Amino acid sequence: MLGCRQVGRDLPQYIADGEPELACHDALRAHLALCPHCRAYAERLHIVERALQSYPLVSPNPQIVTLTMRRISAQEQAAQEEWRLLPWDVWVPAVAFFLAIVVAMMCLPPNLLPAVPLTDLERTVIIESAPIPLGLQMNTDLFWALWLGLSVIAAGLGLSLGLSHWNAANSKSLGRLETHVTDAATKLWDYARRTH
Amino acid sequence: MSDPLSELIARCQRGDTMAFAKLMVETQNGVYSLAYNVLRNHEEAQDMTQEIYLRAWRALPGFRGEARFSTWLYRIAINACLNRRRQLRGQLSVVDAEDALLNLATPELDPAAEMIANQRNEALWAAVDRLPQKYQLVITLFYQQQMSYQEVAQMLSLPLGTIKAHLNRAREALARSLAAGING
Repeated sequence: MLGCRQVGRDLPQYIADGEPELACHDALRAHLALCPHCRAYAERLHIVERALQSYPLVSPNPQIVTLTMRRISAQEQAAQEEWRLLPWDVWVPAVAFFLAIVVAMMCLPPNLLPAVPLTDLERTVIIESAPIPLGLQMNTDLFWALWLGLSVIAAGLGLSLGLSHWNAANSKSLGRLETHVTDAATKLWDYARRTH
Repeated sequence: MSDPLSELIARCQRGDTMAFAKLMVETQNGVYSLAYNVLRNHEEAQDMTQEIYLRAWRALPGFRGEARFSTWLYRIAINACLNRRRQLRGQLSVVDAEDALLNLATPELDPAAEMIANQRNEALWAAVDRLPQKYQLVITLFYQQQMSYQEVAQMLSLPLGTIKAHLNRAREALARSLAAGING
């Protein structure tokens, strides 16, 4: 037989669950049948439960939708007017392609170039053939050929992605990411201008 | 998971601001109630509600539909409101102390007079306002926002047992306050 203390602990959940007719609650029901104090408590819990079930929502200012949509429009407008980089799906593959061209130029064997006197700057830029410092057994030309091939493939993939059809959600996500990067770049630029 | 707002959400994700306005109309009472229950100030709740929807608009492309939209929106709302509440702690009339549970009072009710159900309900709703914040929050989510125990637990990142314990303690406190009101 359950005592009042145990029944008092179990009653709130039992009442909230709608007094389920389960065998595990038989002892509780038996106690309620005999104890007027716990029956009164159960009745108060019923009143509480009914009040909470009808706990009303609080309504906002009727203009809140209008005010919020105005702020959203203002934000969208401000984002479009900011200084923008080229779209990511253009300049990322363009940079990758440019890098691939630079690597290709650097890999050309010197004897293919016309015998033109080089300036000091040009001499320092040309990479001389040398064994790979990491001690790889791979032939240098093969290494650079593979590196060039990977760069061109990456650039080609980037260009394909840039030219392929994107859905609006992808463009929107990319646009938002671009906006964040633009914000950061603008802040850095402003900071650099202020401090120099 | 089938969401009654899924068509509106899809349109919003394509950039349809009119659809977002309709979404706001469908959900504004729930969001505002949540904001008001946390912040206890109509002006702050008004500002916070706008802020919540702005954040939702920005984050909408990332909504995958794995949870109900209302659950996702209320998660944004709770995080925003609790952050704001921390900033305004000294200025808001927020109850946190556990002993508020023990000393919860409702207006004295005349036992001789016939109790009108909605007057009693109003007294209990007013008593909910005086519960400690963590109990108010679970009451708001479970009863006002009609969330399940599991959803409330996920929303607040608390164990299921803790949510049930909070709700039961709140119910006990309200039942005690009712008894105190009746007995004078």
